[in-house]
Amino acid sequence: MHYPLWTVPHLGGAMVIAAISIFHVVIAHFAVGAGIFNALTEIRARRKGDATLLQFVRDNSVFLIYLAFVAGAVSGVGIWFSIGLVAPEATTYLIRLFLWVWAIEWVFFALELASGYVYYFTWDRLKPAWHTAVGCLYAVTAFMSLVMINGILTFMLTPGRWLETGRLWDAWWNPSFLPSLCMRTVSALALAGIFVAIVASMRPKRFERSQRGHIIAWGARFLLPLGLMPFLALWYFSTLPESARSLVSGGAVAMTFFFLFGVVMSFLIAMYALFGMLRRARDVNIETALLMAAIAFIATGSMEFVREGLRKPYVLHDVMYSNGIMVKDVPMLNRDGVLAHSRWVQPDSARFPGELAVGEAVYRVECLRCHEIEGYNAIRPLIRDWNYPLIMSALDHLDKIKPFMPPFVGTQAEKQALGKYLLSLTGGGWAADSLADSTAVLPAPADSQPTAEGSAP
Amino acid sequence: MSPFPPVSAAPVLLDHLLGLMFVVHVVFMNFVLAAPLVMVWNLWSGNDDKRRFAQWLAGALPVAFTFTITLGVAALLFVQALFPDRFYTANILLGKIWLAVIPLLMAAFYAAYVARSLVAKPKGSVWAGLACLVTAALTSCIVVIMVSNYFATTMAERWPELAVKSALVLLNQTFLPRTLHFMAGAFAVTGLWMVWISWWKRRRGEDAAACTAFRRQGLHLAAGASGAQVIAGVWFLIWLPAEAWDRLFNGSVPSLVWISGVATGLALLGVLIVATVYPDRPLWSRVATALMAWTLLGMAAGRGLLRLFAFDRAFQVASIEYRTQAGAMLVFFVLLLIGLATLAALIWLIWRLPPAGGDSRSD
Ligand code: HEC
Repeated sequence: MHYPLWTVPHLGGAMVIAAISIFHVVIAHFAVGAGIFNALTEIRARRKGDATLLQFVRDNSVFLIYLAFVAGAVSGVGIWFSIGLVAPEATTYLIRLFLWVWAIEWVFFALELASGYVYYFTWDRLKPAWHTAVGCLYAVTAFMSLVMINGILTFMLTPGRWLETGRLWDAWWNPSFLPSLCMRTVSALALAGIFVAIVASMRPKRFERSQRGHIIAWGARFLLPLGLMPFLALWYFSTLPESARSLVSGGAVAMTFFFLFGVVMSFLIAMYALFGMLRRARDVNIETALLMAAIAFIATGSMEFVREGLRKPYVLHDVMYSNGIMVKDVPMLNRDGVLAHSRWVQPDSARFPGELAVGEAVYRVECLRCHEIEGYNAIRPLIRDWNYPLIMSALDHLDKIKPFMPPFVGTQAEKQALGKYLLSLTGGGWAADSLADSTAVLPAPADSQPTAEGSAP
Repeated sequence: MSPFPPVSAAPVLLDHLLGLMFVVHVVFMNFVLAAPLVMVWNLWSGNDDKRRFAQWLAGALPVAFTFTITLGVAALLFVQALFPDRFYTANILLGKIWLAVIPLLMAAFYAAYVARSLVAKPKGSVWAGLACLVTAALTSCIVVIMVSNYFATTMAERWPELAVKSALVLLNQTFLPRTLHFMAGAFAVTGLWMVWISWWKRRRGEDAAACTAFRRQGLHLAAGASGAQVIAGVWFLIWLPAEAWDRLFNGSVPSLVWISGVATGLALLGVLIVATVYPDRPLWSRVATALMAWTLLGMAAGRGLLRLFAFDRAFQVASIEYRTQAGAMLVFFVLLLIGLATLAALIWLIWRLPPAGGDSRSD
């Protein structure tokens, strides 16, 4: 409502965010898990005089630098950039509310990076005790940055008592904070464990068979907590709002499927780790290790997908809908109309005649972020062959026919205009094709010149 | 009236934090921008000693990249909290070009790693130089995008125009003096980095003559770039409109910091010239560094004044609505202090490492 729209034809902005964040989440979780793995392994190896394990950690701390410090860190910035483009209203809301939480997270992150470099550069140079301490510093700071971010991510779905108190602490320490943190920690450790299996099996020359078995068996222990995933998932579930729970338990088939996939796969990997890797460690070859990595990648991705999906129709539960409309503004918008309060999106009468232009503008404000015309969750096939009364009755009950859609917001006239515009998409509509490639954002009209701070329409 | 929650601390405080983070960001970013070019110059000089200099620079490059990004994120955090309307609207108007920063950055970072691994190879000079050029080209693209975005945030009156044209149109006549001024600064800062890398290498037991030669190169670079900087700065000033001058000289604290920064900048030039005569006296390196630090702070203060000047037609920073989240803010500042102390301890650990007998892995 307050920003121009950024659109990605066919793909949809949501998919851009999803792609970047899944990539980032996997690497970032790995960075946390590997930090804990390195610290624990170095401590144990030094205590037991286990030269093989020590050699292994020393060889591989460099991956942290190559992977987590480059692809991980940059893709993290990528998430920022993409949510600012796709969901600027929600991003503004979050940054205003959680500024200090992010600032604190940043302190941990900066220390994580500094200690990571020192850890890597000072193998064999620092006294063992000091080097181990630096490793622990890395592990703790990396984990703490996860802890800080976790509160913001879970807030979006379960704002909990904050809705009444408005206190930052209640927002951050919200109902799904703990179960979510446990799930993330478990998968972080697992990613480290799988990574160990891959690297160890990839380097047959560096380590003999029995040594490799020893390393893999040690790494497998980091996979075992995955066995808890079903219970953690249930716990997580119990903290979700009713609407979100019903989505996963059958309300949305894709959601149910991805969720079950994530949980079941995690559990199976844990079982394999216990019976396959711990007991008969020598048998893990590179193919198996890579297969596990692929499964873990997809499972992590599925869980993120579910987490994002569960929030619908909100981007911030009970506060802001996915299309950036604030819940508390709905009565006002129903009275004045959405276009009256839209700073950037206005009817494009050069392209569409009369009412259709209004309908198309309403569509861009309210629907485009979830429905491309063609492509991602495309509207055209969804309403193929619908007639006007059917469309209008759907607009009357959008939030009822699909509970993950926000209700229609706006005046009766806007609703009718939107209905006519949708009708033009159903089959014979001439206007539709020219919309599909409309990527340009429209200038604000003269009377709603943006001011620097907020809008005063 | 903003539809969003109020800012969670006094905007003036956040603005200062923003300025501070930006300065530290610049220190690393300047190295990232200029060091690859200095490396090419050394690599392609056909001189074996100078190839070693390129290795030394390469060792520091990834760390500099990391901290450029991290500190840049911190600065952007405060920008976003203070001016979300300006910032996100500018981002969206740039659109894909803005998002392109991410792949560009990742590619530049990995190219720097490629350069780093190639410089160590006896026959790698040509390819290493090319990798450096790729890094430099990619980071330059990022600079252009960042500057366009910055311009777009300051020019709300031109948004309707930007909505139909690319924001790159903002790169008008202001771009050239600004960029020259900025690039000269990047070489000056990198020259000082070289001075410190040379001292560090000396500590690590590297050959004294090579260290001195490298230091001298750094000092020459810093002195030359500072000279160019003064000229470009004057050009930039001349270009500025009269109202901007009023801002820069309005006698407020930032304005005084800026003016003193100009003074230390001039003093720095003198000190650097003296230092090139006595490259082995650490005193001159220290004095130059202190002057440089203050100059950078002054320049950031000046930049802040100009940004506020550009924003001012619409609003005042101090007028942004806020409600202090005192508890969280306190936690942040306490943790920041602990963090800085820990960082100091880490640096101390590294500084006290025993000489590594010619191993060039460290930086
Ligand atoms: C939060 C994202 C979101 C928003 C915003 C949204 N939708 Fe949907 N909508 C969906 C999803 C997801 C589906 C289910 C698609 C499917 O079943 O394949 C859907 C389905 C539909 C359907 C098909 C319903 C059916 O019975 O098959 C219609 C019609 C529709 N949306 C219209 C709209 C209109 C009009 C708007 C704007 C006023 C809108 N949607 C806004 C997410 C959204």
